[in-house]
Amino acid sequence: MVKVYADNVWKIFGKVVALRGVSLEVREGELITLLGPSGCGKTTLLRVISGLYIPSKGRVFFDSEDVTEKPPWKRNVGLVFQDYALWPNLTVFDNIAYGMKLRKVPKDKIQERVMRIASLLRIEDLLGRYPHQLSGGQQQRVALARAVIINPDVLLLDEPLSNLDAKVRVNVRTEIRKLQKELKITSIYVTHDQEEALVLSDRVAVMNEGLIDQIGSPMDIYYNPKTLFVADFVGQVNMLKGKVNNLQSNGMLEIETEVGAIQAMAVPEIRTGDDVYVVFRPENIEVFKSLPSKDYESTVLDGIVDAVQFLGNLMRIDIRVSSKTLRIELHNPVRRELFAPGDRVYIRLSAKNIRVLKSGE
Amino acid sequence: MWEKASSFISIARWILFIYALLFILYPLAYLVVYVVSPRSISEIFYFLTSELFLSSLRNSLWVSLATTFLATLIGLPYAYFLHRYDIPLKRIVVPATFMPTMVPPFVGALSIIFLFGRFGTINLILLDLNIINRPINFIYGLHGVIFIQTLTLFPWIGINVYNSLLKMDRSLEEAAESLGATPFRRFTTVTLPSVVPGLLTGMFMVLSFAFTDYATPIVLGQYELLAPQAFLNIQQAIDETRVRMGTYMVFFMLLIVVALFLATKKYITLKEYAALRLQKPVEQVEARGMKKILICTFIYVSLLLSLMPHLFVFIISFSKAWSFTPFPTKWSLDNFATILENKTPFVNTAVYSLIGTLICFLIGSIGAYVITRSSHPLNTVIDSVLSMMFVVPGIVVGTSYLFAFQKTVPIVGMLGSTWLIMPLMLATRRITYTVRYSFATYLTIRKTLEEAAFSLGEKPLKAFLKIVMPNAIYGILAGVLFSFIEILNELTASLFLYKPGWETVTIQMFIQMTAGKFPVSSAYAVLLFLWSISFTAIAMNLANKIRA
Repeated sequence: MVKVYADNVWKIFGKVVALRGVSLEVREGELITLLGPSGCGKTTLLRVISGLYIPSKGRVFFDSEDVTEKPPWKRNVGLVFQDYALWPNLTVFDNIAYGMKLRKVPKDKIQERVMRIASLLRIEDLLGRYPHQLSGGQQQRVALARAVIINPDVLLLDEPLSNLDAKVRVNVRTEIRKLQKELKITSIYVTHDQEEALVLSDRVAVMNEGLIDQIGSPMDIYYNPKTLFVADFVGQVNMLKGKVNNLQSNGMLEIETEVGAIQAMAVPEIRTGDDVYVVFRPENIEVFKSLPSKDYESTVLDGIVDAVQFLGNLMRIDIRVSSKTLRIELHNPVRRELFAPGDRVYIRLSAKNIRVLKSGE
Repeated sequence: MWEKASSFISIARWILFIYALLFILYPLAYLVVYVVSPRSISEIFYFLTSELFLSSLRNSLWVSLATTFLATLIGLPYAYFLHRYDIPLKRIVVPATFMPTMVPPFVGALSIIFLFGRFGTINLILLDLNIINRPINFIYGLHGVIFIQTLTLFPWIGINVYNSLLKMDRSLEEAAESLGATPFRRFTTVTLPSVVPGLLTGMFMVLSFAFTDYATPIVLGQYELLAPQAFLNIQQAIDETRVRMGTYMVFFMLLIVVALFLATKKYITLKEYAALRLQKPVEQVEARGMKKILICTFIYVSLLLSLMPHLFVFIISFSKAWSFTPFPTKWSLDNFATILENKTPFVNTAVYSLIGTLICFLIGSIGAYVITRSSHPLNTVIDSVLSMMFVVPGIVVGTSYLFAFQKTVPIVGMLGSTWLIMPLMLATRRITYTVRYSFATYLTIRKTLEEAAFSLGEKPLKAFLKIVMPNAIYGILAGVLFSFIEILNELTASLFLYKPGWETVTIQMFIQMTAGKFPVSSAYAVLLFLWSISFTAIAMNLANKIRA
């Protein structure tokens, strides 16, 4: 197990700055996900760590060893690609055994280890086939086997599930996590799929425009987004512009927003008069047909139902409050009151579910 | 990027650069310096205003423009009909269209003399039938050169336009039809614009070849054209002034061809040419009645005319006695026995083409790999220079090699005095095919295949050999085979460079023909034709395998 450390890494392609001084520490045996939209630099960072790119500035360390200039073939990393990258001219067995043959492992040992990893990934029946005879999910399992069989110091996975359909994706991602935990390989996983990131990772690094915006546990990232970008990118969010009206003695903030005054918990760095964003998740809003009770911590607003979408396990309701549309999600909709467009409704927000972020964060 | 750490890529790049510098840029630069050296400026002025030059230029322009016009007139509808309509025996017609492009056009001239000469088959039949009472001059004159070149070169336009049509998105035409466009309007506004790249590529090839070909005019006794003038002045080397005159003409031709290329460069699709698609199913329209008869007649007659010279070569090669009769009166295999007595041209052709092909394979396949997989300022130079050989006429390559590698030049002059210069020149002249096919193939191979190997500890050279090569081999081999076929058939440059004992089959063919030994020359042509067809069939098969 090694620790990976990227120190102030820059990568510039002509006029495009893909990485702007990223620093990232991946602990031994940890699976960290680089999450972000297309073009945020997550794959570039992964390729810098793999050695396929040499950074324009900054260093990369595996434990204390500076590997910045080391080419990929000298790094002992396992790479899994979005397009599987299985060699069409070799059988599944030969694909998996390739790295061990390079390391001159005796034949019987190769056979034994291929069988072991193949049974772990449930591909032992496919060893004699060629890649084009396999399904997408099977191909990605083979790619994973090929990458981990060499006992890599670091396992790098570049959107490995993007080409798979939804159900297979869930199965393969469970297997990836199981295998990673079993083999205790330090792993970096690139994805733009927030659900994948939250499910798989020990920690998630959310990237935006060549920088890491926030790094933390999945729950931390979801519930305590530090920037508007993270709040908006991870999960769904309602976002209101506002100004702090006053800081009350009971530790509450009253914020004047586009939909009226909202009560939120005081935040140390925010003072009266600050321009802020009020951020809350759709599942944290309660909705009522008649005026609900209210305490000092909560805010009640009234609005008109704009649209209702039934998604099976949840109901999504858009409610027009003043000039803004707020999104609400009701889980287990069977047990809820039914709402229809045009209904007059009341919504209740609890201060503890509201994040206040300074404008510009 | 990883390639910066790869010694294989860096070493290969430098070898390629040195190769391009030594065998492409240096000879051409030598020619340019030779022509524009201060001593020659006044000579150039004299030359440019001389009557011989002006009349040769006029004739050459007339011949090449008329040939291009006529070849387009046949080639464009040929490709369109072939693509659009359900032509019987299409599976044979399409590859058969390629055949005339595989053999030097002067072979056509040889047959045409027998067919259309003053006492050739056609005139004799017409005389026998009392349709005419004196022979018609079908071919002796510039019109003969135009006639032969049109017949042998129109397939270039046909193939390139056909290829463009295959790539055209049918829904573009359907969109025009759905908006109420008539077939003619659809053709002029949608179809024609989308085949412009193929059409211009074909027209450029025809114009460039017709402008710089000296073999066909010489066989027909037409000397007042730039190319034969240049060839005779340089080859006969009677005095230095004449050699210089010839060189100016060659240089002038190079300028014209390069200017033409630059003018049409935007549309010339070398890359696409390398990716010929022949077997892709086409949505065909079934023509009926008179229309079908007219279309099929046009296709079959055009194809027959283009193949006729090559087919007629067979008859000539088997003839023993043939004078003043439409067909031979005695047949034999003597001509083949004669050519087999002298093994030198065969051995030379085999040795040169094998070495040349090996060079194409090594330089072309690795060159294309370096270009597609790495970024470096030298890549653009290597790519442009290797591709440039596609547009440099044979006469220019021959002349520049002749001068740049002559004995008096230090170091490289040594090379010119050994036969090794022949395969080197042949490879360099025909390398574009390998480069373009390899290039197109590598583009279809995902980079992640190599990257996966690197991550497992494989170095770039081994990854190239073990991962890339096995997956790209069909595409590379198709390109290599086309290079090989073109090397086999090369004449226009080798004729400048060869020394006694270095003759190839094509050179021997030309020598025999100019000595009036047509049947012997035909026997060579027949063998060459059969080899070329066999290798083409293999190359096309391979090219289709990549697509499969």
